Amino acid sequence: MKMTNKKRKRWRLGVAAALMMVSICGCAAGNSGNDQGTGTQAAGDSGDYIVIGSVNDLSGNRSVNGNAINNGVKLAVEEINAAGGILGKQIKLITYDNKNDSQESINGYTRLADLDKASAVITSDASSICLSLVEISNQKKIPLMGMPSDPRAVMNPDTQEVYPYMFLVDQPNAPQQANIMAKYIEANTDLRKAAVFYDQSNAYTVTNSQAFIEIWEDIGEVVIVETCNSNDQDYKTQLNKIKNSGAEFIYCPNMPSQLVMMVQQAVQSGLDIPYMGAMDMADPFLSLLNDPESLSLAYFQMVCWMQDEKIQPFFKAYQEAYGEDPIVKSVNGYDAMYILKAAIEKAGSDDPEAIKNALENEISGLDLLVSDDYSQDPKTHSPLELGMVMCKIENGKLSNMGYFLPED
Amino acid sequence: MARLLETWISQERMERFMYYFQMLLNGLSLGAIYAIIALGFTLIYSILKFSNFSHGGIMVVCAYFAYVIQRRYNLNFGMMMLITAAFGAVLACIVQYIGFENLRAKRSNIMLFFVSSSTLGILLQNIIVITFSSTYYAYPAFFTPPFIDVNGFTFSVSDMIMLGISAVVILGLMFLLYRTRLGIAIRALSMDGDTVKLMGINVSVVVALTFMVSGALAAVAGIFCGVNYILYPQLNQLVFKGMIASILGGLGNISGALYGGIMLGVLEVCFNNAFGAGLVPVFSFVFSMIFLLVRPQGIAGKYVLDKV
Repeated sequence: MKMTNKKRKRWRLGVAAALMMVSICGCAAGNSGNDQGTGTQAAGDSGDYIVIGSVNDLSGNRSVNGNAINNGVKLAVEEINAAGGILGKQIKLITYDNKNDSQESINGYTRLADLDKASAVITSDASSICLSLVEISNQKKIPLMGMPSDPRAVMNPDTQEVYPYMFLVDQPNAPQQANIMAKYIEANTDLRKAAVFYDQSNAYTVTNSQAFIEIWEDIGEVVIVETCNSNDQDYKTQLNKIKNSGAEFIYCPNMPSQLVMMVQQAVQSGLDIPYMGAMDMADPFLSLLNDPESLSLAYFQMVCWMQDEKIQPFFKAYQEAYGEDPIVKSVNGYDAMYILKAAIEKAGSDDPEAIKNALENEISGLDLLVSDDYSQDPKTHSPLELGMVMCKIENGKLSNMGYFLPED
Repeated sequence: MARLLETWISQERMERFMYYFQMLLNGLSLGAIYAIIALGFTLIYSILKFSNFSHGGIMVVCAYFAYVIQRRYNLNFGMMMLITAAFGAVLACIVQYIGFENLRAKRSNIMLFFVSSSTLGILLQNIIVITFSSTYYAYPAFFTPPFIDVNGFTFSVSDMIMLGISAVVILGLMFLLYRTRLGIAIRALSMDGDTVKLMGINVSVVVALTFMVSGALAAVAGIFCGVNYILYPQLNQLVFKGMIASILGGLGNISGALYGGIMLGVLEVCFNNAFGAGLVPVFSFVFSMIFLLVRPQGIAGKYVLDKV
């Protein structure tokens, strides 16, 4: 049967509309992961619930971490609701995707504060995202808990005063991480000539690297400092310079994708010196290397050891819920929700101001996945005396070198 | 003493020469990737006179396709590249039919081609996000040993293989364009579509075949990116480097795209070496501006005024 022109036109219009819908759905799926863009209610819709927000990267270039944090939060919410909720109320978790974009984060947080009436918000591990939320948190006055390693996200660097609604939870900040790594290298290796290679467009890597350079100049020598940008793919020029600098190791607190490209290109360039990384060298970094055995030696730090016995119940529950292994960021999300639970219980209400006061002053001695005795420092809005688990990768094999907390 | 000094100086000179030679090879390898992207990009520009941003989407889909077939069938590098190139050709043909065939038949405004190509690029990228999530993937290590050592200076085997493949691909493309009937048809179409139609050439078939060649080039570029870098959905952003290379070379000029790509790659490595990675985009931009002020038609192009 032949199609008339009109029918053909309609058919084409239909195909075009369908294509556009698929494209938009693609974007939407990229933007909000599951059906969480419009809000996921983890509890029964009784109306008597505490609203908690999650603004994380579900589809951008840090979505591996963002999805892990969000899934950790969701798992904790499900457990808490199953155990009767907090203060007799169920938790309603509403998630917005920030695509690792500052404006999207501000939009998500504003919507949570104004429309969803959230009591508190758990957000990203990206320092740049948390930095962009400082101003809006002062206006909306809803406590924001994140894992920004840049201390400027929770404290004004000029006045040394904390931003009242910003909290770093569940991990040390970047200068503390740099200090832990520098002191560990000093105590456990003979390596003294450092090359520092960092992403200058990432607030975390910049803060971490600058702190490391400052600390390391008292311990050894920084022979070369090289930088890259987040969208760069080719690092061979910098790696060749490092190779010719006489450096004994590379300090590189970069993102997993950058670390993978760096290690692979270093192998191709014949550069074989130890790498000192940060938390992004944890899973899935090793599994992404095309030849893990080519990585002769690397040290990095994590907030916890995923094979630890204490982590196993969480590990199994996460696997059952999401069909994949959790990563360290999943632990961060999970713990952050339990810190928030403790704060709401101490506050005795879901009022954001009361929760903020409790987060500031009353979080101490918590038993979390990262520590048996977790406390928040009211002066810095950051964890108090939290060490890290030091890890070693030798010829592609990962091992636990134990918990490390320097004296100073 | 003087002889000793002379030996030392010559050694130092030798070392410096080897260092810069290494850098040059890096630049050529990077430039080869840009050139392959620019060639696919400029091939479409030459016949349809619009910037085809769906090229980046095709590149990403092909890079992931290569990853999947390699994992499933444990293919070697050559076989993976051949199958993916064929897949890229078919995919580009489908993209052409969905996105541009109707616009071309109606002689639509060039802006609609641009919108359609951008939308298709986003669609392809999002198909990858939905299918593979936005996590990273890596190809296995194809080349062992990964480098060759010459007097303490190392040269990446993958870089050299990619340079070789790029040379073969570019020579093949030149042969196709200048020594075959299809090539003559493509070049004629790039000059005057209406006259080509009057000469009895089936324009739709030539356009489809040109897209297929462009798709195969996108597949090769996608695999190069996967081997040297890592797979992630935003890999299509490299198409902008291809676009800059094709502009530097002369928009719509095939050999210009090749020169532009190589020049951009070598310049980026030089700027990186001299000023650091942070200033590479600044210097590349400033260089491009000055270059286009002096020679607006690019290295090998003709003066063209158009919306990009």
